[in-house]
Amino acid sequence: MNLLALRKMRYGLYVVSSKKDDKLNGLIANGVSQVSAVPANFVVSINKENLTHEFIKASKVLSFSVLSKDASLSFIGRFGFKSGREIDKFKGINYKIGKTGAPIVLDNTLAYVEAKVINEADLGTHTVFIAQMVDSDIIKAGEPMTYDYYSEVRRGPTSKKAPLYIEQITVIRAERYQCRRCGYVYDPEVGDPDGNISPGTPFELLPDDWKCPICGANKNYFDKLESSAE
Amino acid sequence: MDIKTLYQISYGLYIITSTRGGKFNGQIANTLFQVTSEPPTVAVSINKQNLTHEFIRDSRVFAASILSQDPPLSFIGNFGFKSGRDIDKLAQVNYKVGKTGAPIVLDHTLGYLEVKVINEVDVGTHTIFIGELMEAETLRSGEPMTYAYYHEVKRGTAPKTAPTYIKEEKVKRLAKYRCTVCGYIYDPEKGDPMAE
Repeated sequence: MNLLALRKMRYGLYVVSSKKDDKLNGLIANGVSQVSAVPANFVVSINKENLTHEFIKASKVLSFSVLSKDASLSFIGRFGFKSGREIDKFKGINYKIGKTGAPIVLDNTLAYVEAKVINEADLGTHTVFIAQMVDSDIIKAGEPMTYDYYSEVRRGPTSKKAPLYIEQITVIRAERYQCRRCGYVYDPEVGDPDGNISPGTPFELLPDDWKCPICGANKNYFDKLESSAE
Repeated sequence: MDIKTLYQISYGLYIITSTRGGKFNGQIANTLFQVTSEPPTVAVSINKQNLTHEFIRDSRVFAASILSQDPPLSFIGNFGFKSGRDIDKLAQVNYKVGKTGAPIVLDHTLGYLEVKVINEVDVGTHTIFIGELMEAETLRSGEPMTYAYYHEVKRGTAPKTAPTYIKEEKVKRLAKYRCTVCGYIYDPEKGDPMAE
């Protein structure tokens, strides 16, 4: 068995949002797929530990926003690596309330779908929600963010709660540093385009006020990754 | 409601194969996705009219070959636009029989998964088969085919039985305009990025 085969599967990247009473929450998900055309039904796989799971269970409505390729890592970090139990993820975010009452994130969004839950399947750590489309719209033109682009080009980390988390098999080049708080890896070959750090900048030469592009932690939160024997 | 929204969802492209009573069949699918990581489970949405649906229903196993970007459209046509009720789709391709007894297509394949079905959900025209991963292998390196690449670069089409099929007339076709001075064609789908 070679689980790396799973990394060849292709996904987009979405903000899945829901509500409970008058509270709003959302998270980053890749496990979104259309499953039938007439009517248009979708599945969304959500980890049971997530607040958004609780909200979808309670309200039976959800929306997903298709992220554009240029969404910043800090935006993804806000929805993907922080909990709605601790912060209001929608504060300062551009969103609207849809027909179902679910919030729809509009920042960094190419298009959205709103849906009501019609069925669900229990898969242990995750619930697969099956939802029927109620409304959809295009917000702007652009390339959608794909999971592999996020992971391989932008070097974004994957949450341990994602349906496709595989312990990173790290073929480590020298001098990479990892954030203890969110798992983001600073790779000098890539730099930090969001923070205007050009490729080739060693970690030691980053400005003192440089912060993790995902969770905002300062440099003290970073540990050097040990080189593995290749 | 803008149905073109649905084009913005990203997928790969796979051959889903199964078996029944010594017979093999397979079809193209884009809606294969992982649903949990511990243990690894995957799901696929299959149209009830397809022979592969019958086979998975009966044998409770399926395999998925992850396609590379290089297969000719005729290869995809063989699996995606013909029925196993009329032809033996596996007669012309390299395959092996996996641990689960399902055939695994090896041509144009970067890696494959074998799955034992543990749950299924009826969604009207389609059934979502959810299963536990029994085997996974990578065969060679390369870029996987994506559904977007298939449509936009290879100019492939989807059959009416696909979960993501969109009737052409449902798509708002906006008129294109040609400049009578220089011949430039303004295509509203592309806009004019230079002028925003």
